[in-house]
Formats: sequence, structure tokens, C-alpha cells
Amino acid sequence: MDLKSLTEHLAQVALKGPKPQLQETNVKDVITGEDRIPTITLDASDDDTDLGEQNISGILSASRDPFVAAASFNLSTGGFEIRGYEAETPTLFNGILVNNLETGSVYWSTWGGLNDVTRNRESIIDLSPFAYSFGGVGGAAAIDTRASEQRVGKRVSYMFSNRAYTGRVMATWNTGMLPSGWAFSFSGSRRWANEGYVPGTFYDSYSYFASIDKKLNSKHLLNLTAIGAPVRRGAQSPAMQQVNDLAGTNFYNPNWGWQNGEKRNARVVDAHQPFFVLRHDWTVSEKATLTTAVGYLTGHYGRTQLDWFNSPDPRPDYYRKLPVYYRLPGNGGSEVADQVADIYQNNPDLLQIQWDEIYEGNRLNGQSFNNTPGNMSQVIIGDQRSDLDRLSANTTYQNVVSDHLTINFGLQFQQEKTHYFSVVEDLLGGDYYVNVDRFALDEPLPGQLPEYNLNDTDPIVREGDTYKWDYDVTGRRTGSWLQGQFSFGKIDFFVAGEASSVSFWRTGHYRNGRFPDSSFGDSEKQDFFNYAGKGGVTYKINGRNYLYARAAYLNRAPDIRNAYVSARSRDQLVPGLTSEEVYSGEAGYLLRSPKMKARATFFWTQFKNGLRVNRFYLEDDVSSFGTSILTGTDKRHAGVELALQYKITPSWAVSGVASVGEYIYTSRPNSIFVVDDDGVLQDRGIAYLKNFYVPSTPQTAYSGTLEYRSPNFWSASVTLNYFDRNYIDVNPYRRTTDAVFGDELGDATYNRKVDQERLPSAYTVDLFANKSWKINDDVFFNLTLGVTNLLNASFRTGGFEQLRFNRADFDNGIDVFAPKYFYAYGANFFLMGALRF
Amino acid sequence: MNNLIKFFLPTLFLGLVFSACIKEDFDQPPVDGTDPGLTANATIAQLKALHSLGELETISEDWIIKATVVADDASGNLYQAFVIQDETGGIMVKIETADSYTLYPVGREVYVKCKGLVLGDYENLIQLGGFVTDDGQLGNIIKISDHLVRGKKGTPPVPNVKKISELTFDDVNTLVTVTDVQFVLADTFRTYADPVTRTTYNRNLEDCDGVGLLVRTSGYASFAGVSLPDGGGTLTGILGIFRDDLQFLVRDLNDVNMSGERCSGPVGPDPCAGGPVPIVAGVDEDFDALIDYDPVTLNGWTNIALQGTRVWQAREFSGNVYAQATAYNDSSPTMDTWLISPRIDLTTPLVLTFETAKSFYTHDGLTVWYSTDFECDPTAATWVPLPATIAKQSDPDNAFIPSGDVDLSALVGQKVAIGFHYVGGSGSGQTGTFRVDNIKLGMGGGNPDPCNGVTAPTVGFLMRILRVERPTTLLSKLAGPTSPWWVQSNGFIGILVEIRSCKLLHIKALKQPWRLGL
Repeated sequence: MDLKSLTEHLAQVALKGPKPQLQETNVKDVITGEDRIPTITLDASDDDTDLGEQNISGILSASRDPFVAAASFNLSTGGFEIRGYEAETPTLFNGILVNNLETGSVYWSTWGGLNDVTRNRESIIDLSPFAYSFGGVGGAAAIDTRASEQRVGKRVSYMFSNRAYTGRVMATWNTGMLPSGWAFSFSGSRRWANEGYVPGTFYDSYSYFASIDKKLNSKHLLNLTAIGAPVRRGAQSPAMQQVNDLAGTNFYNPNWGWQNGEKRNARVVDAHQPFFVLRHDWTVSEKATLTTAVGYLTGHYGRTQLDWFNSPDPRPDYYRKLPVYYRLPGNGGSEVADQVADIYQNNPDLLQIQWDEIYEGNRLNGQSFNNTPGNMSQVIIGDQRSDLDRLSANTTYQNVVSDHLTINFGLQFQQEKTHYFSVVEDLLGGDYYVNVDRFALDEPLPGQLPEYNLNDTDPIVREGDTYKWDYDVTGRRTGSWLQGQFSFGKIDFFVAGEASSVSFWRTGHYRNGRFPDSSFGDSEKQDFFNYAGKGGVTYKINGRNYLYARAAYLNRAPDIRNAYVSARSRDQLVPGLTSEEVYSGEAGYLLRSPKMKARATFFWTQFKNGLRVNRFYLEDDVSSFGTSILTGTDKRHAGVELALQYKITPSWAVSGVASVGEYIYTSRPNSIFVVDDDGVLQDRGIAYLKNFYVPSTPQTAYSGTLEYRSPNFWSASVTLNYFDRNYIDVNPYRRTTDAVFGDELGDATYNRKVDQERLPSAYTVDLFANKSWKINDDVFFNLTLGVTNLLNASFRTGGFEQLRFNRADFDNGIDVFAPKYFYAYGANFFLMGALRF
Repeated sequence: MNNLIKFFLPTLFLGLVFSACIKEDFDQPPVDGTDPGLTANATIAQLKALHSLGELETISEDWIIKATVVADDASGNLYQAFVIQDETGGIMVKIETADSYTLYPVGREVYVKCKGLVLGDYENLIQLGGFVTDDGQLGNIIKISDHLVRGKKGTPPVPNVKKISELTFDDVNTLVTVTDVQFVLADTFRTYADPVTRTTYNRNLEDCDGVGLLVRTSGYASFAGVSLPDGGGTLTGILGIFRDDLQFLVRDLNDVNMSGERCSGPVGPDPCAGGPVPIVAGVDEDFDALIDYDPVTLNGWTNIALQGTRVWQAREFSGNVYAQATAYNDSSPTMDTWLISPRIDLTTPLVLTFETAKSFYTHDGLTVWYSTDFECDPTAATWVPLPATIAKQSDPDNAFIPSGDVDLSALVGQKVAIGFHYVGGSGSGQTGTFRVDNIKLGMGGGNPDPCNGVTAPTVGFLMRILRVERPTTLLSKLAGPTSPWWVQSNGFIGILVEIRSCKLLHIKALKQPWRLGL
């Protein structure tokens, strides 16, 4: 089979009836993963100062905790998440809570690339008391960006890297508190890459920061902070291993293709969400402080992707284009599949988007809609926007009542509106596109119309027009918390409580033709009232040895993102929407001696009544999207954390951490499917997920570091990391009785379908070196080199089974919808020079 | 250091043994379903008793039926439907989901919560649906979870074993096995249906008593393109009905056990069943009305196998259709087949011309004969060889060789049939192929209309025009002088629009001819 006939073959196969297919959503995006940690990953180097303050109980401050440092710097390579949690850490930015109400996550990209001025942070990873908020089951964090708290001086740095970006310049100027009572801090940076570590990904970002303090008098300090980071970057999407193998790289990226000799990425993130905070610090008395802040965040966040109508799926890794599809007996069998594989291997560009074909098709297809003049594009790029407006206000009060009692109190308010809409970004050569649901056009059901928006009689859309969906989700949260910390000779203890209420609703700007009665206007408001409490005790054996135990109970509203079955089309709620409950406890031992610091903690957390919601594309014949909902998901995260630091000599030190956990599902959730066509809930019965592992974090992780610090202002370290017991995310449907009905319990087919895949263990070696030169009394030059995964180990850090599943093919040994995996970067480095003056 | 040993090491040990100690095995979904804890309080027979044919009834009774799935849509022969059966009978369930076999596979118990569902029938085939559509039809069940509760793995009903003649309406929508059956000879050259055009076909099953039954297969069935078996045996499936006619639905090829001997006795249909072949004034046959691979079936022509099962077959090359006989790959060891023209009333001296071609020559397999006493059975007639030129070994492959003018003037006053006789055998290696085309008898012009006087009224609006062969069946002429003819041809059913020539009809095809179940 030559290239031409393959192309024709593919075209024919494609014409047989693949229907448009969007991306599975809620899958972990590699780049998003990168977003979460950039300030930490790239800047282990310049974390050269400003360690956090001590906590009141005298326990080793979290930010000094070698465990947190190792988890952040070293173990993140392997996808390690502390205690296996996701998004369990309320974070304050200059006094403002910045967790997104819809997901609970913090979008670090909002202030990415400003490491110089966001370094001033405190955090806890456990149930410890925290001075600024009640915290979550995964701890809490607070970043202080006040100008007067920034290290005085100017700093210019330049960094080379081969990661998401290849270059970064950063300049910072901090005045400190001037005699006039003003303090200024300015910082800006630029990050860029023509092509990052992953093929077809570019990076283009600026960041800016300004913070101004005004000391009104000895009791009042005002601060205004503005921060933002306009970014454009190309994204990577994971692929099935067989496609990686065809492409010859585990960083195969289906999102790009050649256009005019350049790699064009179809999935581009374009975001700029400036954030402003006005903060007031009032020293009420020697013992009491009151901090009040008001924050406003606005801007845009868009992710583009291919969209199509009356066209075969243009994505290069669409399953019908892959050898595995031809391996099915009805499609040619293994001989044809091998030929197809050969062709791809000899023409790797075929595994990328064929932009020229798309343009040619859009220009020449002769398609029109309702006799509208011009060519209707069959494939376009759409921009899926989620533009956030958030207003927040927080107040924190602390009163050191006596040597024995400190009281913290806080009020929190947050209202955010996310405007979700989809915009025609690029018609790719055609003249217009249509705002019509192709699926509904094919087979309308009673009472349904194909228009996405019945309120707009013109279905023709052009570049810049909104199409497909347009709605707001508004969420509001008010909370208050109170904490008392008691300190006595041998015993410290604390209690804390929080009450909060969350409301949210959807406002549709489209009247969807399929759901005319549940899509337009304000939906019913959902209200949740929640409460939480925690407490703990520390027993001080002596000044060096401590024992502690803490416990917490949290009752929390479901993530708004999981509340709607398909918010894009309607306001139908997930059935049985209830608050989730969390029970957590931890106990441990802490050693602080001059030469050795050590900590051992046992933790145990039970999540009850969680929701898991995923959207995906159903079988061709149904030609529709569906939502998979798991209700009543219980999880137990239990394990042991160990951390040890030992100074062998003043110059030599070793440190090590270990995390051995068991993060498993402890219930059999109920599985529900909802097909977009009709909105009817289909009960798929029990998903037998009990004792399955919570996916995509190594449940065993070790890290050990040997460090040398020379008196001559240089240091170097080598770190060995080990990851094991990492499991991929499972498709719940494969664990229902329907999926195995009639199988032989425990035979090969059954096990292949039901067992959870465990990723191979892996180890990595990291190097780190740092040297400072004093040029004169005020000028220092610092050179830092960091190498991660020095031995270029190739290993998976996570993966997921696709939610699409064809039992007949799978049982016959042909998995057309095989799992997709995430890989750790191979050897990667950064080299940074910084001048401080 | 003391304290370190006291606290730290035990904790460390606890951590290292942690995973081994606590975790239980992975959950395992049961392979035989789960019992939903429902109790049946009605039967399918009771349910069907609520139905009057042609009506739609919304069920108000709080009934729960427990039944077992006997046919699903795994093979694609059913679409958006499955069939359930209990001790009292069976019923078809219409469901909105495609690939419902993933939820309701054959052998699974299903509890049907009947209240709110709707009973209806499609031309007497009783079905259970979910709602009444705007145009008064039975709609599929959409709220699946509310009505169709999946249960445990059941004991599949044993098929009722019967002869075709013993089937009754009570067997409809149940699993039956018919015995001593074979597909009629002409159909053994065909496939179950057409997977390319996705066309549904009815094929003719018969038993050794000569009783017939239609086997109906969707063009979407995974086995649509498989050839029908040419042996005999038993066939299992779901009995259906269309109006007053029973028809048979094969679930998948495991239902077909027909590799045995065909019925003993005369092979194929009795050539004289329809009486003597018609008498015509002339012949002008180019076979162009036939479809590639179909057996040659033309009004008045006889196409019959005397040994083996193969007959003359229509083949198409570059737009030209011709008749072909070959023993290549024949499953029978010997092949002996005749293609015989209608009887021609020779009132004037006429000349016979035709063309023959050969390929893969192995032997002189084709001979051409005439008979003046042929009526219907070639074995009862006297055959005389004709002095015509026939393609021979030295001729190029695939080239049509003119016969030369064969003068039949000596036969004026008699009724003459022309016979093309092919003999070969895969057993003897005599597998060469012969072709015949453009058989003409006459002096040009003035040939009588072989369309037999069929004229059709013109129908004004055409939905879709199909080029089809001449109708094998003129089904009915509806009342009234201007009403159209209903025709059936190659599985298409439609209204006759125009006879373009006696070989090319235009029909207005129905959108879903298979729904007619003919």
C-alpha cells in the first residue's frame, strides 16, 4: 500500500461515518500539570533566602520541612502528590483566598514567572493550625507580596532551560520601607520557547508585578498589589502508546501539524487574568493584628481546539486512522494494520494535523448551509473560553491573649462568575460556520431542535462569533473560622472550627434546541451549608522530641464543576448532589536536634460521598456525548511520611524522605450515564471499584539527597528518587457487571478488563550546583545549575483508561480505545545566572 | 538518639510493611449479574393480551415482568430492539439505545416495569415501546433505567423445535428451531443481505416437504455479506411476522446449522411447476437487466441444474452483463446446467446469432442445442446440436466469439427452444468458464414486446429512482384505474413509475423497504 492509497483508504474509512468528536474533558493536561508547579520546580535554585516563620507550637515550620521540599522539588518528577490528595489546599495570596470555587484548585499561571516576589510564603501540608485560614485536609498556604516584606535590592536573572520554556529573563526592584513610609516592589519577566520539551509546544509569556506599601502610621499599613501574566502557549495532549510507538517518541503530540514550513499547534492556551489586591494591616495592639484585604480578578482564559461539522474527524490520532482499527477483522485484519503502521512509520508527518488538507477542504468543499453564499468550513478552530471575574474579601484577626492562648479569627467572602463560551477563532480558509448541533440534525428526538441557540434565528457564524454554548456559572462563598491555640509547659493544643455557605447557579445565554426549557436564563440556585472542625495536641517530651496527634472533620460542598450534568447545554443537576464528608487524623513524632531533624507521621483520611464526573464521546451509533457520573465515591488515603535531615559535618549533609501510602477507593459507587441527546439518566449500576487505587500518584516514593556546602560560597547536591505503586485511572464501566456479563470469573479476558494497571517503578537522579561571587560589597553574582532526571529515565507518571469502550473488540484482544499515558521528561536542566545589586 | 530508636524506627517499620498488611483484593464485578430484588407479578402473555392489533395502549397496570433476553443487537440484525421471552411467550422491546446488547445481552434476565410503557404492533408484530410519537407511532423506550432493570444470568429458553408447517402465531417473538430446512437453490448463490448498500433481503427457506419460510436479514447485520449455506439442516432464530406472513430472523451464524445434506429427491425446484414455458415470437437477450452474481432469472427462460447445485449466473464486466457457467470452486463434484430460451414460434425463416467466450480453459464444457419438443423439463426433451461457432481453447480468453448465422429456416412451423448446456466438474478438474451473450433470433425489428403488455401509469412525484431489473413479482394493483403497480425487485419494493425499456424500470422506492417485511 503506498501513501496515496493509504490516504484514500483513510478518507474512505473516514467517510463511512465517524461523527464529530470533541476531546474527552477532565483529563489531566500535561501543561496544566506543569502550571501547577512551575514556581517550585524551576526555582529550587533561587530559594536562597526567606524561609518561613516558625509556627507557634514550635514545631518545625512547614516550609522548612524537608518533606515538603523533597516532595516539591524532587518527587514532582514522578507525579508525586503529597498524601495522594488533589486540590485540598486553600491558598491565600496577600490575604485573599484564591482557590477557584468551581474546582477547588489554584491556577498558578495567574502569577507565573514572578518567583522573585512570590517566594514569601508559608504553608502546611497537614492538619496543623494555621494563622491565616482554617485550612484544608491537605494543609494551607499563604503568600505575602507586600513590598515592605520583599528583600531590598535589585535583581536581574537569566535562565536557560529545555523544559516548557527555553529562556526566562526576570528583573526585580524592591525598595524596602523608605523613610517616607512608602515601599515599592516591581518585578517583570519574560518566558519563551519556540518549541519546548514537547514537540509543537511553544511558550510566549510576560509577567508583571507591582506592589506599593504605605505606612499610614505605626498601626496602619496599606498595600496595593497588581499582578498578571499574559501567556500564549501550545499544549500537549496525551496519546495511546501505539501512537507513541509509531511516532517513535513518548512525547508524541497530536496537536500540531506543518503549515507553511512551521509547526502549528491547534490547542493554544491564551490567558491573561490580572489580579489586584488592596490590603490593610492594622496593628490593633501589641498583641492583636487585623488584616483585611479586597481582591479583584478579571480577564480571559481560552483554549483552542479543532471543531468540525459534516467532516471526518480531522485529528491525526483519531482511532479510525490508527493501525489498531484496521486490525479489527471487519476492517482488513492484521495484514492491513501492519501496512498502515508501516506507512505511518515511514511518514511520521502523517501523524500530525494536515493543515493544508483542511484549508483545501474548507475552500473547495462547495458546502453551504441554508444556501448561504460562500463556503461553509467543515473544520475550524474554536476557542473555548472560561473568563473569570472574581471579587473577594478576607479578614483575619489574631490576638495573642496570653502566653497560653492565641486566638485567630477570619471572615471570607468570594463571589465569582465564570463566563463560558465558545468562539470561532479561525475558519481555516472557509467563509463561515454554523451554530447547529450536527448530532441533533441527524436524528432529532421528539421536541428537540438542532439549533444551539433558538433565540438567534441566524445559524451562520463567522470569526469572532460565539457559537455552541454561552453561559455563566456564578458561585458565592462566605465563610468564617475561629481558632484557639493553647500552649503550656509540656503540652500544646488547639481547636478550630469553620462554617461556610456556598451558593451557585447557572445563567444560560443560549436557548439550546435540545433543551429549550432548561438552558436559558437563571437556573435554580443551589445552596450548601457546611462546617468543619479540627483539633490537635503536641506533647513536648523535651526541647528536641515532640509527639503530636491531630484530627479533623470536614463537610464540604461539591465542586461546582461537578454539579451540572452538562452545563454547556442545560442546567440539569447531577443526581444526588450532596456535600462530601472528610474524616482525617494524623499522629507523629518530631525530632529537632542540632545535627538531626526528623519527622515521622502516620496519616489517615476517609473521604465519603464524593462525586466523579467525566464527559466523553459515546459509540458512533449513538453519535453523541455522554457524561459518566459516579456517586457515592469513598476514598481512604492512609500512609506514613518520613523525613530526615542529618548534618554529618558542617559541610556535608544527608537528607531523605519516604512516603508509603495506600490511597484506595473504599466504596462501590453507583455509575450513571447521561446521554446529551435526551438528558435521561441511565443507571449503569454498581461500579465495583472497592479497593482500587486512587490513580496517578506514586503511592510509594523515596528521595535521598547528599549535599556539600563549601565555605567558599558554593554548594552541590545529588538526589536519588524512587517511585513505585503508581496506578492509572480506570474506566468505571469496565468494572460493572454489564461489562463482564457472561465472562468466566478470573479468566484472562476478565482480568484484563477488570484489573487496574500498575505503572512500572522508576528512579531518577537529580543534580544541583550553586556558586556565588561577591563582586563588590553590594553586588553579588549567583550561578545555578539544576539537572533533573540526569540518567534520562523514561517512565510513566500517570495514565487513564479511555471512557470509550467496545467490549466485543476488547474481548477479542483488540483494544481500540487503549489507555493514554503521561511521561516524565527525560534529562532536563536549567542554568541560571542572577545578579543582585 | 534514644528517642529516635524508640519512636522513629517502629514507625519506619510500620511504613514499610504498610501496604502489604492492609489492602484487600481488588473488587471483582460478578459475571452473572446482580439480583435487583424485584418480583414479577405478570407474564408476557398477560401483557400481550392487553393489545389489540393496530392500536397503541399505554400500560397503566403496575406490572413487573421477568423474562430472559433471547435476541439482542450484537450482530446488528436487530436495531434499537431486543426480544425477551418468558414461559408464556415473547415480545420485542424497542429501546432508544444502540448497542443495547452491552446491557441486555442474550441470556440475561430483565425485569420490565410495565407501567407507563406503550404496547403497539408493527404489521402484527407486537412490540413494547416507550411513548406515542407525534405522528401516532410507537416510540422507543428512552427512560431505560426506569423500566428495564437488568438481573442475573438466566437460563436461556430452549428453542422450540418445529417443522415450518408447525409454526403458529404463538411462536412469534420466541426462539424456535426449524428442522430439515435448506435455502432454495437460487438463493444459495446469494448472501444473507447486502452489506455494501446496507440493504435488507428476504431469502427463501424451504423444508423437505416443500414448505417455504422467508428469512429476513438486515444489511447492517455483521453476517450480511456471508453466502447462504448450500446444505441442509436446522436453523434457529426468532420468529417474526409481517401482516399474515411468518418470517424468520437469524441472530448470528451460530444459529445456522445447515452444512448437512440437502433434501433428497429432485434437486431444485420442479421446472414444470409453472407449466410449460411461454411461447414467444422471438428472442433478443443481452442479459443487461440482470445484476452481477445473480442467477439468470428471466421471464420464460429456464435455468436449471441437473447435477450439482450451480446454475447459470449473471456476471458483469465493464458494464456488460452476460450469462456465465463455471465449475471453478464448486462444492459439488460435478456440474451440469442448462440455460434454455422460451419456446419460439417459428412462423418465418429466422436466423439465430449469439456470442460465447471462455476463460481458464480446461475442456469444451459448452454445447448449444435446439429442441422442438421442449416444454419445461430438459431431461424429457429431445435435443439436437446446433452448428454454431463456440469459443474454443485457441481463442483468446474473455473474447466474445460470434456464433455465425445459424439458419433455423428448416424448423419453420415448429416451436423451438435453444439450450446452452454446460458440463464440468471440480472433481475432474474440468472447471473452465464459459459465457454467453447477445442471443438474437429474428430478422431485425418487429419483435414482440417481451414485457408482456405490462404498462404502468406515470406517478408524478419521484422520491428516488432506482434502476432495477425487470420485476420478478408484480405484487398488486391497488384499486382504481390510476393507482400504481407495486413491484418487488432485488429486495426493493416500490411503485412502478415508468418502464423505460423492457429491461429498465424506474420505480419510486420506499425509503425503508425492509420495514414492509416482504
